Amino acid sequence: MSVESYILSKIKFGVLPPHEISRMARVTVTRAELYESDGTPVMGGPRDPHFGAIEPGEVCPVCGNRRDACPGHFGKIDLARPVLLPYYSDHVNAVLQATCRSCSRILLPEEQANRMRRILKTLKEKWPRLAQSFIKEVRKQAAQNSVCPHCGARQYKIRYIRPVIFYEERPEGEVRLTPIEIRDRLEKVRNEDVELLGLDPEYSRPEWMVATVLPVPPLAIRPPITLETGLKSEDDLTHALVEIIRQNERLKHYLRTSAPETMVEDAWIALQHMIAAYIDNELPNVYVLQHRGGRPLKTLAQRLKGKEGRLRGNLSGKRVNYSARTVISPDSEISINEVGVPKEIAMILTYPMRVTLENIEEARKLVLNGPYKWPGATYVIKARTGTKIDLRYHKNHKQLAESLEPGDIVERHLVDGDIVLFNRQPSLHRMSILGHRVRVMPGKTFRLNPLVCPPYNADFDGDEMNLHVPRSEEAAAEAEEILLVERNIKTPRYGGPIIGGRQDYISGAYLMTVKTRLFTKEEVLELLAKAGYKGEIPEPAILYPKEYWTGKQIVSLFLPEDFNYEGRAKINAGPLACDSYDCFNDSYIAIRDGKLLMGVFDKNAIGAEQPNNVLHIIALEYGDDKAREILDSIYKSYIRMLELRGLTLSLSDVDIPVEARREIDKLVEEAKKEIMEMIELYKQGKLEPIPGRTPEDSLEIKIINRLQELFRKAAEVAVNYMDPFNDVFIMARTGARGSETNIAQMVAMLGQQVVRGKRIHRGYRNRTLPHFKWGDLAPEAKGFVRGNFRYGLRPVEVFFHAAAGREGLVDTAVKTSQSGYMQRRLMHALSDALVMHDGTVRDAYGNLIQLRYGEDGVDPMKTYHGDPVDIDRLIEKYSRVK
Amino acid sequence: MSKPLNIFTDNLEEIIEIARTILPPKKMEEIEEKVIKNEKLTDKQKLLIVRDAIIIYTRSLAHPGEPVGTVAAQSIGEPGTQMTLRTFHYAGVIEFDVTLGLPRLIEIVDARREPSTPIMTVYLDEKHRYDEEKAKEIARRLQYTTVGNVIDEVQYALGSNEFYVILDPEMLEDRGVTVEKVVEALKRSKLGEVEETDEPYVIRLLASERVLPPEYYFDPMAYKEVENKIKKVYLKGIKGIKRAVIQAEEKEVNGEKVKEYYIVTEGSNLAEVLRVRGVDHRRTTTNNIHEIAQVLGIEAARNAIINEIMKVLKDAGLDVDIRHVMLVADMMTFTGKIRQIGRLGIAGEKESVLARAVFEMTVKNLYDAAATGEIEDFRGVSEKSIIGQPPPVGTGVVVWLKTREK
Amino acid sequence: MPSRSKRRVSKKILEHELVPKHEVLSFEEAVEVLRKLGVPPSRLPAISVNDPVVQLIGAKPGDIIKITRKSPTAGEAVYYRIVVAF
Repeated sequence: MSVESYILSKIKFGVLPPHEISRMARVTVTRAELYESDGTPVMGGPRDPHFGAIEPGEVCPVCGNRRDACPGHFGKIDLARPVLLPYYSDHVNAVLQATCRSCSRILLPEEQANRMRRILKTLKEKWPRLAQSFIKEVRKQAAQNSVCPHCGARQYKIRYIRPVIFYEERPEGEVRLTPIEIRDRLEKVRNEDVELLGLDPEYSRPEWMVATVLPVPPLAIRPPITLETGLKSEDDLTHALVEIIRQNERLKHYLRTSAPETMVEDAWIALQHMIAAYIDNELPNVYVLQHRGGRPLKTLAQRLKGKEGRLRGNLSGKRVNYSARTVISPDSEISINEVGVPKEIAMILTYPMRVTLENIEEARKLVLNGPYKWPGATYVIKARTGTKIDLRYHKNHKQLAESLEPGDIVERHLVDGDIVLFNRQPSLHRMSILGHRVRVMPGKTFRLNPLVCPPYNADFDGDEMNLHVPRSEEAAAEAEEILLVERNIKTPRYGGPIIGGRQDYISGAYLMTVKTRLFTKEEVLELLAKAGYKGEIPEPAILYPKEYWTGKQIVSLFLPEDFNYEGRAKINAGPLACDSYDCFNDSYIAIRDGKLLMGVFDKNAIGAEQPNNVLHIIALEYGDDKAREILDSIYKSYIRMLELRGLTLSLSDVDIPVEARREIDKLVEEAKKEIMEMIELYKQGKLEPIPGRTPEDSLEIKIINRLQELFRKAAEVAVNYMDPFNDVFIMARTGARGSETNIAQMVAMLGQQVVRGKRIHRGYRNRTLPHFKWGDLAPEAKGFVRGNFRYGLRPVEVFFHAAAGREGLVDTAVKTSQSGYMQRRLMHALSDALVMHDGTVRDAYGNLIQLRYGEDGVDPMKTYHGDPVDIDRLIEKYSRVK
Repeated sequence: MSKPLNIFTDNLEEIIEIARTILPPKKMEEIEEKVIKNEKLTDKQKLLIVRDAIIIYTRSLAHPGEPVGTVAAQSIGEPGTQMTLRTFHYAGVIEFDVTLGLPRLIEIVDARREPSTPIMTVYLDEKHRYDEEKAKEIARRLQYTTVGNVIDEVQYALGSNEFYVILDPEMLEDRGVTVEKVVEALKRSKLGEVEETDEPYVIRLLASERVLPPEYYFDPMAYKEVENKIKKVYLKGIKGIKRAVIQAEEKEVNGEKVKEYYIVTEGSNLAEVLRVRGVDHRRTTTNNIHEIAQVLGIEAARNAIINEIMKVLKDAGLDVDIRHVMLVADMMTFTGKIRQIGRLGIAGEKESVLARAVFEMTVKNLYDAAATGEIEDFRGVSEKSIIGQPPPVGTGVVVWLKTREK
Repeated sequence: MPSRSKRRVSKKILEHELVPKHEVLSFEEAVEVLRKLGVPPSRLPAISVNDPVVQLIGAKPGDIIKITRKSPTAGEAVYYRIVVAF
């Protein structure tokens, strides 16, 4: 059996004409039964063997092939009466509306029609987009004429009810147009008119849209399945066809026996509906074909439609081999561009290695190891014979290894250094699939460096990820050049790094570089060893009484020698704010010639998603590889730093002195007093309303604002009383985790709980909970939570907090689906736009969308937060050059 | 193309000339400002800076084949998950709610005819912008006011055609309407005879027979109808402007700090508002993009789309490069009309049958393709991936022109 | 209120900050633009004859309009649109 292969270049769509259906049919189906009593298929039934061989061993009576080579053959049903088809009827309608009911010519004066033909011709050639609207216009204009300009016949209004019913409003009343009449009219429409109405006279004559013969698809399209019990279960399509055949035979019988016209009519309409349902079982105004159990049948349209349908489910997206999925866990010891692959998986996923003179010895070893010993191989494909040898069943591995020669292919296990693609769903952007180098490891999880979490948006609370092996040299090369982790440190969404430190890395870096921290020699060695540093240790910053180094010295060892940087640290806020070198708070970063002179490293220096931070500038100016080196070295000691010092919290960390608590109490009282005054004013009708708002709304807005102000003030008090080296506070200040709001919620109060932008108001009649009086407007009756996490909440407060918490959950659930759909639409609208060699942006069809991408042609990924060239940095750089 | 560009020239003039042809005007201006006019720099330093700027800029260009459309879609779609779903108060304006966040973003890319909360920002001209009273005066002129807005109630008794319109002095003041004006408007409305009564703020209206035929004298519904007609009588303002609120912004003019007043309105009617005297016709805008297209043209609409999307993203605290948004806007306005991003717009107007069918309305698209005899030639990304060929973007733009001879 | 929206388009809109500069290209310029870009007219971005700005500058279907945009990235950027009849 030889298979010819072609490259598909075009598909012409068209309506299958009846004669063509008849010509290709190998069976005419006239019987609705599937099997005879002895179990053999009924000839002339929907299971006729002429539909093609599908059973193992069966020989096709048409082509003589077995099921692996028999393409399947069509049959046909000769319909007793013609039948309109859904979807096509929209076009049938357009033609009927636009043509004369007696002479079937287009309802436009000859001259005008000719002019329109000429216009259409040029439009089709030069303005395909406008041709569509022009055809619509033609259809509309023709339909407006109530007298035929050719034969003078009066036209009646035609009413079309989707999917297949037509009525004509004649003077004597509304008359249903039968498919026969419609077909007659359509047949007479001239080719040139067909073309003017937007159809293709050669491939889709309008009368073909009224079916006289129905093609019956081959069995391969509707294969019966044999259940364990030995019973045959037919495909839904076959069931639908059985119904159609039965109805068709019934109609034929009525016609033969000259049954009363009404019976014929009813049977005809029923047939019409069944065929409509056979095409699409979800049409409105149509009978739904059902299974015996009442489940609607999946007919043709249902197979194509929707996410799991043929187009989206099987054509646009396919299931793949050579992939793996398992839970991920962190491993900060491996490089950011590596992925730890369990040995078990490495022995299943394979790469087709072509044997060359250079690697033949290696290949032999792999074959000798066989499929069950890593690193081994699972298959060998001999170039000479093209045979594929399965090593699981091959006896003599040794002999096979000997017989290897250049050109053979060895399907070898994954080994360290192989490039694979790693992915986490939802794949919202291109950084959701990155190239990693394999590192085979014991264990059953994929290991991932936590620095690469941000692009995947991954964490390790049970996330699973997928791994794919590129199966050719080209694919592997592309993965290495384009998809590798370090090639994607910068994101194209905004010019900034998307890979970088988070959480512990940030607090670690801060604790390391903060000026109060000094390191002994042992500690320095420890940290540098973790970073894999090889080289000299700098002079200690303090020599006597003991040698001490600063964290800044350690960090500087890893910065490029000519690197200069200036910027604010994350902690540069509030009382620690300063905006130049003149900074006592250590919150202004200054790096000169690769030495960190002042300032601490925190989120604004080493963090992910912080444009123009130290990491980003290095990635931009010193290249991805330098950035990777830094991420793979010094970042490890940031974590080690935490292990040296410890980062933890105790109850005392979320406690503030009594004075502070009193201060907050006072603030609360003040606010409450003010609010009660407002409520009093409101009750007297004296509250100054906000223009355009009702007094109730105005009161609510004012109360909410006041309570939010209260929270802000309380938070301020709480934070001011905190020890700056309180670990929780360090995390918030450095941007590692949490915020001042979170701290205030722990130590001060939770504050006003809000649902849909309002104070909590639903619950019982006129009150939120039975604990309160009717119409109580006081803060604590409507969701104000005075309590905090340190001293606990009152039961009522817990309830309010939960109410606001639930809103958050609902919100997330709703918006994921909405934003998902929006992104799908954006993707489909824009997926074809690309930059051409002349710098213009065009789509795949040649439409010119932009003359220059983004008007300056710059790739946002390669920018300083949107700016392609940082002139200030250049001035800085060269102002010292003589 | 004259002589080849030599960026390694030692001549400052020459390198600046080269920079002018290569760098975008904005960057060139910055260089002029910061480098060329900088007296602290030597000529050699200037030369090195300009040369580096050219090199860095050239390196930062998007490569041919870069799938910028896909990147734009992802860059705008990905942060969508991080957005809020709620309606928030417009920055500083507590007077009315404004749709923000994801719903607003969807509204823009959907190209809805009417935003769910139409808002105009009306700036004032030189004469009015620094004076709160003058600004208020214009706000009153904008606000659509009918008799119904300034009255307490309409009294009537069945069996008589007398209607008493009782005005609310506070509302009259607020809307800047006088009793005479109301009388005048009621007279103009031709609902009947109108006269002021002895009592202040009460107007009598004798409904004409045309408005209230005597045979309906005992039909309460008829009276209600007349009352509604009275309430609907137009006094002043612009149709569609439900409310107008004064806002102020600190600004510096000629080194002096001043407050600039502007008006934010609920409801939108750009065409009419631009005609109001005292309104700055250069800056006044609306958040209704279709209205902008109609009044100011497609290019203005394109800019409005960019501004609106950027505003939504910024308010949500999301960082998205403006180039992505520009591409979306240019795509949406490509045909000269605003096209939706979706089945009724860009995705539904694609030239490829399969691309349309894959997106939405699969069956209908296939049937229509058959009826009109369309040809699918697999040019786009969606189509290529269906038939398993490399897509025409990225490394896929490189094709063999010649194959090895066998 | 009488409908005044059908009133003639005012020249004032050209001064609006959202409206960039539109100029009609001469035939020679148009041909040069198409040649340089290597596109058939139908692949160019379009603008309707009913567009208020097109009406003000008096362009006809088939004309190519040069638009000089103020650009937040480049400072200034040129764009072309072809006038279409609908």
